[in-house]
Amino acid sequence: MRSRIGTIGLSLCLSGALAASAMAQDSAWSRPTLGFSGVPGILDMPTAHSMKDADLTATLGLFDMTGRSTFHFQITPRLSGAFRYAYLDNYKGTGAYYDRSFDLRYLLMEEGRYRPAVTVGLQDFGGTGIYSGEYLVATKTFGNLRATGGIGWGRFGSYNGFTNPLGVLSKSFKTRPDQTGGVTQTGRLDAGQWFRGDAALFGGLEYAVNDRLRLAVEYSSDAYVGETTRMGFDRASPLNFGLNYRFRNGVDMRAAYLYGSTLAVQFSYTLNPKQPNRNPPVLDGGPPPLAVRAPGAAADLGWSQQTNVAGSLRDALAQVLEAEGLALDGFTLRPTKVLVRFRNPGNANSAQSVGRIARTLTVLMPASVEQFEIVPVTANGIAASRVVLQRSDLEELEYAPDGAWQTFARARIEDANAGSLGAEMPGVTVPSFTWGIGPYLQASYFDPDSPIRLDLGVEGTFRYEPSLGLVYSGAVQRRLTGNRVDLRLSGSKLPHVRSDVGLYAAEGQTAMTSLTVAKYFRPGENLYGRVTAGYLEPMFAGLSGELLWKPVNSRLAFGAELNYVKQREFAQGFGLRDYDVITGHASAYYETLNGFHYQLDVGRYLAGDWGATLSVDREFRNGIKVGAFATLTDVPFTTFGEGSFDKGFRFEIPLSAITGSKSTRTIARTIRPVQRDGGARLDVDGRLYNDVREYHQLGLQQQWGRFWR
Amino acid sequence: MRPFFVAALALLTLAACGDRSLAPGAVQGALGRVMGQRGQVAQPDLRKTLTPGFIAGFEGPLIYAALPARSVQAGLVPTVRNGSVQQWVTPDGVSVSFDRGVVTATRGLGGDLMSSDLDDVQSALRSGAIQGERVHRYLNQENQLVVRAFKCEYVHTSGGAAQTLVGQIPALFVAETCFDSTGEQFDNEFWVDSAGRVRKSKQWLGPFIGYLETELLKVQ
Repeated sequence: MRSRIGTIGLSLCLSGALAASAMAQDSAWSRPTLGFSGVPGILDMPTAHSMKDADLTATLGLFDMTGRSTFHFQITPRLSGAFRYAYLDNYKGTGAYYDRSFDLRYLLMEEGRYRPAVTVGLQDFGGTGIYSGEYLVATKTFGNLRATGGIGWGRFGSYNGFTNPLGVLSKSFKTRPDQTGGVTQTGRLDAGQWFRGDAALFGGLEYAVNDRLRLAVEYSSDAYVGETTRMGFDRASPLNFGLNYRFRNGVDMRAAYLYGSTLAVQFSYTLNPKQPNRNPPVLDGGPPPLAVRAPGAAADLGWSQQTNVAGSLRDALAQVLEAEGLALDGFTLRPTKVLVRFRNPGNANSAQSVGRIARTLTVLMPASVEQFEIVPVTANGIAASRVVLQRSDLEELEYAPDGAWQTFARARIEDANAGSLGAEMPGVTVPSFTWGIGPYLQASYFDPDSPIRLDLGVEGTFRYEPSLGLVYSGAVQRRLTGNRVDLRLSGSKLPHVRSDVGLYAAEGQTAMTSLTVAKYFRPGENLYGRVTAGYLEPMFAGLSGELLWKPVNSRLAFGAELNYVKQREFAQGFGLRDYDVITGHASAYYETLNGFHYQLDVGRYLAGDWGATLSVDREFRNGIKVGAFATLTDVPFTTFGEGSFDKGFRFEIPLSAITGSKSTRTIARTIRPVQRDGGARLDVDGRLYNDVREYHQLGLQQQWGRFWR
Repeated sequence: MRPFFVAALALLTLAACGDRSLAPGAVQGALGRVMGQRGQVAQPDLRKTLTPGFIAGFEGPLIYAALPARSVQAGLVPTVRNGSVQQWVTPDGVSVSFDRGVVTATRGLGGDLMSSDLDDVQSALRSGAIQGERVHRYLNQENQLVVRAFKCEYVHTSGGAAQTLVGQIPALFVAETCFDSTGEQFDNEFWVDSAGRVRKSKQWLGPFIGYLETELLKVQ
């Protein structure tokens, strides 16, 4: 018995030692390198490992007559997607040819002690088909060496291919349908061709010299059929050699000798939205102190007999709030309660703003005021919620180890209309008039002749709010220079609701991009409303109305929007064209606890087409958002034109997340492979949902760690 | 045309859809922080200013505090007391809250200690306990509170004295050694006088702050 225990003990110790040594070498493999196709790979072939959850990578690779730029996002720990924009020289006739493609990869099995990592991937599953291929790949690590082997179809099955082993399931797997339709067939899912046709094997080895340098050799099953026949690419050998050097700041540099004929170089940069910078979290200044009342002082109500106490307290509060970057919107004082409405023009953290107001109230309010009702108001004057705090709880929990959670548990977050107090004294936010002049930059992407077209100019804006929720605003742009006027004319068969962007750019040298009057209001409990009229956006003018139902503690919301618009003239002055349309959508919004947000809009789009849009976004608690959307309408794919249906991805990166200190600036881009007329939605400002949900229960809960900051 | 586009692409990330006026200073500051540059201005040593005469003439309690990792020194004056916790602040708005001499929270330092559970540390300082646990809470870059728990051991040495700016003060010396599961380790030092006040200390506040050295210069 003893010897057996001893043996087991010994083997456990050995396995522990092995595990420890495996972990020590893991640092060299902490993050996969990206191949020339922009997804985790050896050189040109893919590998099976996934990037770290939420890693966002941009890659730019160049070799003979080809340039590839790819965005890769690890959507979940197992699922990742990529968008690739490739430049091919002389692919279709002479001159540059630009190709867009999407990839999806799924990690079927993580690497374990004895089993390899296994991933299935779809390359270019919805693009123009140049890079179409599917693969199943496995990777295993042995100390400093990593081996990859896989089987591929389509492009990955083009060199030394053999009859598809999946042919045993069905004869149809043995052949792969060709791309026949040309440009109008682009953009579709082409599921019918996945895993069909000849298959081929590929593989490679990577060696980690240290945690920065990796050497790689691979055998590629991609015959580069298109490149060799159309561009004269020389594929002399299936072997590729390369090295990858990883810098400390997330940049990877790769140099390779591909296919026996060309040198290749690549740079990639990885950013993880969960940890966007190296700075200490939260660099803005400290909060005001929390004043603690003397025992028994709360009983003294004598102050309420003095005249104009409320007025002077309101003024003092308005001053302190302004110093904090907040604006007092309304105030009511009772012997034991106080109500404070505030706006957040500096875009400070939502929970932190509530916490700082609470601290300020402990300093300014007389001791008998026990209940604080703090009402956050959106930039357009809508009261989003009501946070009710008890002063005694704040005093008790200020230094409690778990004080943040306990304060949240004791706080009540209710609808702003639900309480008994309304704002009796006005704040400093209304009436207000603001204006600004600054540069603007507008981009159009993926024109067949030029990947990016830019217009640069000066923009003047104004905003006038005479009474709560009534907003006059407008913007005028003057283009100084740019090349968006050279955009191709639209050949769309649908009404040109979006595709005449080149004409708008040409005739709109001085453009009034918007001039509207809007009213934002609360029709009732859990309801939010907006009506906007005027020149709503550069291409359309008219009337827009929206209603949103969202209870404060619900993750589900419903909205409805109805618009009547007329198309504006190209010069973007006061004139209108003949085309008019009634558009509208019913929307459902759902946010999950782990940061995913889903939105479904069903209705009628600008070209008169009926359909639905599904958007999925991954939202990080520092404000960074990455998402994708697709719209399917009753417009046939051939009528839509190139791209077949409207789709794209978008990201939003607040500057404060990257630098760590407060900032109102956000980099927000929506990127569509093709901008056509189907599935086009009106671009009206002031839509309610995102403004309102920041201060609802889930929004505040996710930021509540900042309450005591 | 080409240099224009290079410059315009550089503007691409800055001329965002947010507010329209481009303030050059804000951009520069933001870039500076992203690139990790910090303007270091040479400060005179505060310890030379804090002579016994100066301290005697100073009105109210005073703590000398220093962050060696950041080469920063300051004088702290007390503000609000909440139970056993006294908050002390610097002239530029940084606050350090001491629970009977042990730092329990900071604000305004960047990577602040948000809250902590230090009951075991108090037992070690006052009742002679030799083992205990510390719990610290910090914010991460997703605005979430992250808990770090440390196992600590204490060694008491009596009969010594604290060397401070106001002279030698007889005090009990307590050395605290803590470590956690991620391999983080730190060594704190406390000099506790006969009245139970922490006269001098070196306390680790967090991965972004490092150690805080304090000396209680004036009690009243």
